[in-house]
Amino acid sequence: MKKIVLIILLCAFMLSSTHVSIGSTNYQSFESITVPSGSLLENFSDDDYATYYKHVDKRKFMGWNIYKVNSNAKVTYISETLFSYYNDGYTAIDYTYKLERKMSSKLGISATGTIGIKVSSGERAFKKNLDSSLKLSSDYTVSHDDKESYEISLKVDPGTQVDLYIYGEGKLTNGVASLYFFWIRTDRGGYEIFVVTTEYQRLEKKKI
Amino acid sequence: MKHTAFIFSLVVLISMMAIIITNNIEKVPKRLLSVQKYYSYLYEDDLEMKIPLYLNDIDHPIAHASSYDAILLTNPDESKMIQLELSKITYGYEEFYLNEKFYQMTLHLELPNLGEDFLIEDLVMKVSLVNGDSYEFSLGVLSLMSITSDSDALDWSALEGRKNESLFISRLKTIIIEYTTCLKEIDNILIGIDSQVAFNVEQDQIVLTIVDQYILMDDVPIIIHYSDGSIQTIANFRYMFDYEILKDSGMLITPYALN
Repeated sequence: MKKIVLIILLCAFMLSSTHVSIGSTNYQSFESITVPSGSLLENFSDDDYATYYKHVDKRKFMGWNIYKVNSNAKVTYISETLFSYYNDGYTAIDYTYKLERKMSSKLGISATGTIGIKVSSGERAFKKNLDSSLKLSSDYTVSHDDKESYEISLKVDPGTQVDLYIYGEGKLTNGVASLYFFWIRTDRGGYEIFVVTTEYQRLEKKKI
Repeated sequence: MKHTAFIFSLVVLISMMAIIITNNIEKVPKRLLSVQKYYSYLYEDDLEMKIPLYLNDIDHPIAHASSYDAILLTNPDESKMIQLELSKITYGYEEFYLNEKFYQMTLHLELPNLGEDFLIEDLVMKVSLVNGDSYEFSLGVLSLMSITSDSDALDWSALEGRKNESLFISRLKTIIIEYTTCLKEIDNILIGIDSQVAFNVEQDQIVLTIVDQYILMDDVPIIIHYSDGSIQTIANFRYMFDYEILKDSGMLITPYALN
């Protein structure tokens, strides 16, 4: 019996001692994200983690201890160039750009430490039911099966290049969490959820 | 025999329970929401009017283009009327509104060249489906302009727009036209029929300020009237996409029950 308890404790210790970053999501590939008050998970320092972990280190029988550092913080971002198109002919061209993407593109998540992210059919979610423990509002919920599609139609004059850029606003919730199982900590790390609320388009036109 | 009777009784009991449970499951009424919006278009070839609607049941016939028989845009007294062809339906984001999930769908309607300006201030869309159902949805305002540009005095280089941060609704507040040269004096600028906007010409940009009104607006053309009487147009451009339209639209939302 003692051996079993020792093995369980050893496994729990090994699980909680690793501290690896999970791969980036779409929003982390944005050119820039500005958080007017607060910071992104990737900017949390070791000192920050040490301070925040104090809020989730109280042992409990079972389940997640959660501490939110930023809750629905308003952020602005600059995304990528959506498209660039040029017309080197002699007549104007009607150009239609069809944008089709998964619904989940408006929602991005990331995690550090031993908090896991599961990917299933392109859908990303936190492992071990952290999503529901965070009690996020419905704004952070998306369907993962459907695609959204938009079309952007432009008339491109001869000798002209057009570039379309995206920037916008979103909401950010992040913090730290730890999971307990029979008073033993099995997971601990940082979590972050980013949701786009408004996308602005900037059209640039230049002679080639 | 007893064994057979027992199994038969069990099957009947389970079937009865299934029927009772099925009958008592609360059926969610099928609903569609429309939001009052300012639809402004400057006619050009292959121009499409895009009407977003919000459904709680994406499998309803109204969400499928093949179900449509006819679409009519009119006003309440039907003094103005225009019949449009539906080219397709695209599906957008999802949003929770009053604890119910709604799917955004967009009707793409082919706009004809009327050869003159056409304005409907209380826009109503009448829809007839091939299954015999018909609906009327209040949409907002339609401004369809037919203007020929006869000047290129403004050599614009970039376009972008922003909404009013304090107004919450999805409505443009400013449009910025960056330019390299402007060879003529601007007299006035319109973004729709009778929709003149304030403007400020700066060193390398013109800032248009749109008056605050309680109606959505995200896609407009720009018509620049110069002092010498010439006109330059900038085609429709969608300046923004919002993902919380229902949450912020309040009284602009009209709910409809679907069959």
